[in-house]
Amino acid sequence: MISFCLITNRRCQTRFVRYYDETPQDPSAFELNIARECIVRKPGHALFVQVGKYKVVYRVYASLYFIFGYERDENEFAILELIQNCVETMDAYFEKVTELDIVCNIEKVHMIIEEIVGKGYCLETNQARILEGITAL
Amino acid sequence: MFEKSLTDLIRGIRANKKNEQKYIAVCLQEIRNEVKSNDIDVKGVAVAKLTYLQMLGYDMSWASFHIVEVMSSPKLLHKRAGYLAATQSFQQDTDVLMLTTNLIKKDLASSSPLEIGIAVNGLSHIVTPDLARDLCQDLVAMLNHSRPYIRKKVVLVLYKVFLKFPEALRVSFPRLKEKLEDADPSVVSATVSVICELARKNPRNYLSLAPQLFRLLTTSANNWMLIKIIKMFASLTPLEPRLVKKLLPPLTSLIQTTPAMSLLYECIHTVITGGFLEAAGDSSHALAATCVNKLRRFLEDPDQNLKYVGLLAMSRLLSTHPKLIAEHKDIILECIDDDDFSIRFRALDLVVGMANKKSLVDIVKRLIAHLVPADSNGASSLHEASSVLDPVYRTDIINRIVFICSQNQYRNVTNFEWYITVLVGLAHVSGVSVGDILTNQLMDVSVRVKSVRPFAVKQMFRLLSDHQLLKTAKKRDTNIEVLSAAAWICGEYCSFLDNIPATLECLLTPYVVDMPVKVQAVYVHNIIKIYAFWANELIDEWNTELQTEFVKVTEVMKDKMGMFTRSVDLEVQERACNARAIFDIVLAAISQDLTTEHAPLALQGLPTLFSLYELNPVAPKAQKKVPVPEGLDLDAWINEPLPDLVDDSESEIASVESPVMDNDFYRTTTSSKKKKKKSRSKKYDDDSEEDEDKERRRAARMEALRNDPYYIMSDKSEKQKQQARLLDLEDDVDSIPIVKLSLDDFGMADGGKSKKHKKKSKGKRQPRAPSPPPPEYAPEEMPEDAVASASDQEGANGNNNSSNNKRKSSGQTYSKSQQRKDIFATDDDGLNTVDLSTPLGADERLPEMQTYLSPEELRRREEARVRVERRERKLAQSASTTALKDGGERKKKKKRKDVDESTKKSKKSTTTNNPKDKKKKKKKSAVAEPEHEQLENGHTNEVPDMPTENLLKDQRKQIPPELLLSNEQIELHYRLSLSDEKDNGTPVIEAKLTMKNKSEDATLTDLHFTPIESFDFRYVEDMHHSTLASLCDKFELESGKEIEAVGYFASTGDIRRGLCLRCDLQYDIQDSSALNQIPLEIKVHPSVFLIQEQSMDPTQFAALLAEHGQEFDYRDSVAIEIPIATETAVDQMLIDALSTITSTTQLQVVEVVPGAASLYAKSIQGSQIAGLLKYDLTSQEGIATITIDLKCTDDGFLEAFVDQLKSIHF
Repeated sequence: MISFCLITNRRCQTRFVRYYDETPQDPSAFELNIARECIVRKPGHALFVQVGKYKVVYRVYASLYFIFGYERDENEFAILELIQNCVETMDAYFEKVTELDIVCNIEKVHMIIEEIVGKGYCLETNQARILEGITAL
Repeated sequence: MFEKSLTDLIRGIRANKKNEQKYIAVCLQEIRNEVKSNDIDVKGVAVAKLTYLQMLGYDMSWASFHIVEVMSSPKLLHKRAGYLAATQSFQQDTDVLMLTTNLIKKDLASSSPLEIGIAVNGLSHIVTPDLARDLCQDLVAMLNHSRPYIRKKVVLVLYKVFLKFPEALRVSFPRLKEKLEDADPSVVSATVSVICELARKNPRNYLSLAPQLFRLLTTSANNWMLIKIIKMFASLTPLEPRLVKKLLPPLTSLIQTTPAMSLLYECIHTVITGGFLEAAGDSSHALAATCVNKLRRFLEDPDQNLKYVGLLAMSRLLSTHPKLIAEHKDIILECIDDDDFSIRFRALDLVVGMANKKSLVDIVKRLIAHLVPADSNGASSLHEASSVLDPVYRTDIINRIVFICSQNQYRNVTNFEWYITVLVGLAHVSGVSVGDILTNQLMDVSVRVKSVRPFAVKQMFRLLSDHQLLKTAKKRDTNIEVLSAAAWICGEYCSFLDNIPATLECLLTPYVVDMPVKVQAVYVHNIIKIYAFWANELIDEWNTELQTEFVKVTEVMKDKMGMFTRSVDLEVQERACNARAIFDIVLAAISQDLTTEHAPLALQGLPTLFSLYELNPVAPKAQKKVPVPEGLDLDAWINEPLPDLVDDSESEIASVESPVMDNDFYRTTTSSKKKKKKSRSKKYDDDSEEDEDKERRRAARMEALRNDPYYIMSDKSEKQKQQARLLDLEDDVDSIPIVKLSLDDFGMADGGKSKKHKKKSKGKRQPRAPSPPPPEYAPEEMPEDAVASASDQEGANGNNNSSNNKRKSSGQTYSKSQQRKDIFATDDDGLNTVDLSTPLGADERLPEMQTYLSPEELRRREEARVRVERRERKLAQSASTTALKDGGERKKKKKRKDVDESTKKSKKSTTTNNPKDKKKKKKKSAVAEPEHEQLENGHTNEVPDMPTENLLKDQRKQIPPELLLSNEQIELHYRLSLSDEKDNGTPVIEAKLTMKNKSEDATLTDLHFTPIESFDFRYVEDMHHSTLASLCDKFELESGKEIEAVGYFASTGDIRRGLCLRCDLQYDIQDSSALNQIPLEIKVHPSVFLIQEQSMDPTQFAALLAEHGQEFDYRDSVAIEIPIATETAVDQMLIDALSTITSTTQLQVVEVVPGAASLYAKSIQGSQIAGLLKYDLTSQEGIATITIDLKCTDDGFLEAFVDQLKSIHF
């Protein structure tokens, strides 16, 4: 089960975060820590890091880091694909998604991610069906 | 109007980059005001903004109530924002969560799928055990929702519900299972995810799903789901090995064909971890080889991600197929040098397990290279903390090096001088704190390996004299502790020291005071040791010149020792003072001894203080060989045991078990003594010894049992039996096999690294390759009198066992996987214990919420219940000849006779002593069952005598005024009734008091009441009776006169038992100065509050129960005993009883059926009460028992009602 989804930028500013398991004591510090672990990694490095008890899978898109964390029982590649799927869906919805889109439409991002990663599980991967509910709103 | 929107806020924050904090503080203040607004739009936006700020790290827990308000907004957008805020900020203990139950329930029942989706999503984050319990019924029902969008979300939320409320799992599992066959793929996928998660906790429950899952595995093309299914099979196969055979073909075909790396990896992973390799039999090796080859391809891939997972999978395979992994050593070692830390760590995990004699040096060299910054290679640069490499990483590397080398009793180390060099080198690594582990290693190695000692001492001297290391003493992360090992080794093996004065000088360097006190203490002690040795050496070549030199050195040392005596640490101080005293003695001895030809005697005594014998590691079997001192009986009680209150059998085993163990040990030593004389008969000896032992223990146990007050040893035969039983037990107990754990049991995973326990087996050390000079080991210590015995072998095992345990506890660092498993085990115990294998029982149901059930459903249930109840009642009467259809007839008859009855009503109600002889006879003959039945028949057939509803309703008699007070002067009666008016919506009771002056002649003046206000009643001043005087007026009562007064009291509290109206009565008696003040208490029964609405007819009543039956959830029952008066007919008496009951309690009779009557009433507060009255004439001679089962919507009301019923006397 996925424990959290985090989107940060290169300056480790949290742009989106959602915890599926338990919220850490100090979310800001936690997010900062996770983001730091990811941004120090160079391109070409593996996209998997172990941070504390979490196995972290991340992907970089321009200035944005999409970071998913889980504790166990997830397939690293599947998560990578899931991140890709999230980003593609957002891309489709916002028509070329940018950091500003995410910042200004945080609620929409919540909805999209909620449709894809429901309660920490991969829920829906069909783009049209993901966006069905959001566009209907 | 001019509030900021969320976008404004975000823009504002971006525009105010310089003083963001300040800006946000202002915004927060605005939000604080906005959430209090009455406009839901403003509130909604405020909550949305708050949620955004929460993401930035601001607290929003204070707004939880407002969030609930927004959640309940009818606008979808606000509802969304509210739920989102709730999921982000609510914790399990947020108190407002209690308020959300009905809200969520309502949203779940909404017609808009989006709204349902929002609610389901929200619920999954905030679900608490209470919410789970209350909502699971609805959620399970929603599994069959027409929209897949809802279905899939509900499936996922159910998992969260199960976590919080495990009872729900069992009941809803069949429904969940159906979802595996759902038409919609995403619903199936969600279900698989949930079941996979559940199966991880308790796989046994889900074995039955294997066929369905297998079908999905072979048919589905959704890789995400396939991965989950394969994962799930990995947890199922250990329980059902036959699955392996079935799964192998699809898995291998997937491995060979799938283009998706994720799926490929998952298959390989499952093959490795799911026990496929073990179960595959002959083909296992080939299968493993296939996997490893695939993994190698991963490692060779330029994609780092593939490398990562490849290494991860290999580490899983390592424990079972180390050889296959070792084949790929080259590529794995390459990964150690990868500049990606994730990959490095995974590779390091592998390397630790891969090390063997041949590869050790190479691996350690590579690891050490990681500790040194790449650009430098001189020792000098080691002392600057490298900024490139993380100290945590370096500590980890050092720990790994030590672990690799020391594992399995240094099995892999062939050259200990090399190892010492490595350790010394590690001590120079700066910015890490690994002094303790290095100290242990250095000391352990030099104690164990005799041949390495000279080398070690040399190295240690170099360490001691290394100023750069000394300078690190004040730093935070330092290995300075290593110096304590250095000092100790130099002191212990000082015979190998080249230059003793130089060593002493190093030990007394002023830097020492900066070191940890632990190190200082070791320093002081070893200074004396070395000094003693040195003095001893000098004795042989003693001369005057030497003496002056010696005295000089001693004085300098004594002087320098001063810095230790000033230490704040007591240990150091004490040792230093001791040392100084010794120096004093030596100096004094030398100064006294004028002949300089011989060394003073005091010097010769010094070495015996320290080096009397060589320190050696304790042999692994040493403990076993400690002989038992003569006359010590290990089986004898030290203190007589207290009588054991615990289960006998258990304690018996426990008490026997320890002697068995001891016995083992005892036997070897005593028998071996005898063995000297007659070693041939050893076996016999053992046996007899054993028998004797047994006998003695048995006797002791019997004695203990005799003293045991809880153990009854009644008569002889019993006793013998018991003894026989005990004998059996005895044998059983003694024959309990004690499992000897061996190294294999612990597997390779948790090899230890703690080496400081000196009693480690060395016997198991493998023969080494002869190339480097074979290390010479120190002889092992044995206790005196130890004798070699046949049990040595066994002893070795035992030792193994214990050392393994120790290692297990100390070697946690490298058994991460095991730790993680523990975490698995502890979480969600509730779910683990749920058993799904047994079929559902009929009584197992989801808990139902009372509200919001569909009326149809409720009616259906209630009707069913009533039907069952009726049937039961009928069955009870079935012995009688009246069959079911009679009931129908009876009803008809009843209606017919209505007219007759109405004519009789006055007679019945007013007079209770209207004898009806025709029944009396029957009653008299009613002794046993048959007669009773007859009576019942008679009764039921005598319909005319049964009061009907009409009859009783009309003749509710006015309750006579009750006596409240009666004394010499005054008599008070009261009557309570419900006033027609209300006071601000609260019901008002009208209390009518009748005062009568009883006295002969005295007039009562100034008589008045003072109502006392309580929580329950408040006197209403501005209500007045149309004709009668108010209670608060002052009255004058002449002798024999009567006055009525009325007071109105608003009932502000709930109706409950013991409700009272209180007031004080004051009056003066004319011509008397006595002050009369009497507190009055008027009991208020709940019947006062009952309203006489229009009558309830049976169909209405049934409808009411059907629709609102669930609201009547407080139940009680009252039994009233009525003495059967001989002069009254039984049924008349019953009728009277019923009428008394109804008149006192104001209950309406809804329907009368033979043997029972249903009653109903409603209070002005809206509480409703329904009753079923039954009577029983059989239980006691001469007494009829009326049982009234009551159901009520209000707890307190029911209680009060029952109280009132009980107070009715006949």
